[in-house]
Amino acid sequence: MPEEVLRWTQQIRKGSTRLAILQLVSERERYGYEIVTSIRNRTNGGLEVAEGNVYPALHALEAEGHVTSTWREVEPGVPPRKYYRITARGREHRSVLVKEWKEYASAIARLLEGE
Amino acid sequence: MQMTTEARTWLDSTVRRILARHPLGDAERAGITYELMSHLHAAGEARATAAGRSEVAREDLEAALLEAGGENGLAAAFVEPLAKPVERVLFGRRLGAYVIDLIIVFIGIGLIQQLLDFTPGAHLFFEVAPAPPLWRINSLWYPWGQDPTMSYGLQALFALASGAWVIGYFAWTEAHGGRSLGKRALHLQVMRVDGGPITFRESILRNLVKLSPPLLFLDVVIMLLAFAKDKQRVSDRIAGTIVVKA
Repeated sequence: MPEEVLRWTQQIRKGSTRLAILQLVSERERYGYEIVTSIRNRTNGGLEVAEGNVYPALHALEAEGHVTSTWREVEPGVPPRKYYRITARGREHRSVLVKEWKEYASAIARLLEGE
Repeated sequence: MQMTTEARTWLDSTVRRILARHPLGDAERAGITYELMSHLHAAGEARATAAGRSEVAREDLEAALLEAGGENGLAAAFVEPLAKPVERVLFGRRLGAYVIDLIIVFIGIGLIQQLLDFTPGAHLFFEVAPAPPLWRINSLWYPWGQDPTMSYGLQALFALASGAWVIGYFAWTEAHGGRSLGKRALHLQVMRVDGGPITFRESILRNLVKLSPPLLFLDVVIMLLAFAKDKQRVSDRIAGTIVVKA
């Protein structure tokens, strides 16, 4: 992919990471790496997000009160995992984002239809 | 899934290296340490499972690190957003803090003097066994605990105890929270260059020079002339420490 296309898709992805995370943690609680792989698997690789974007987004969502987290020991002797869960506020936030996303997508679709 | 011993050692040292890239508060440091370990382990575990291994090996973790953008990538994702913006301090406020600390130091020395003066029999004992005045170095180079009215032995004890108090005061207070009382008053804090809390050893290294005012003066002058950009005394450079606004 040419450089400018790469940069452009990167910009689109950045905004969709937040929505993707909110969707995944609204279904059930998940840990960080699980969110990274779930996004990849669920979109058949169409939405490939880097760890570098997921974790900062998770931290931001948590700071805003849209998700909460709990440390869980999986098995003794290995690092515990931080599970993220959506809050009531996060659910509201998610529906706002979904609505905005749909409006945006249909606006772009209308634009692309031409005159 | 468990990790091999080699993998565990590698994980510990790698996470420590990533964390050392940016200054962090204690709470953030602990949180990120866990998160990084957790992430690399989970990502390594997925690889080990795919490869049909029953333990996470070092190569799994290395692959996980590579996928996450290497040490730089993980530092950018985990550490930078939480890194404490630190502002190093060069001179003015540090001097102010030092003056406050000096007052406390002299109050302490006064107390030591009183204690020695009023310890029953102290004079008598040291009068009987006077120490040769070898320790009487020029008071400019070592001004702590000078009292010519005391017997020689008591003078030696007084000077030694005062010096121990000076270095002990600075080293102990800065090793516990990074702040002497003067620094506390002027909202300064000593930390390691990587933002971590300083250890007792580092604290002694950076404070040892305070035993001798001319050496401290020299240390500060060199800082102003040569290391003004890094805002570190020579002692700070040796100890790997900085003084920041807190």
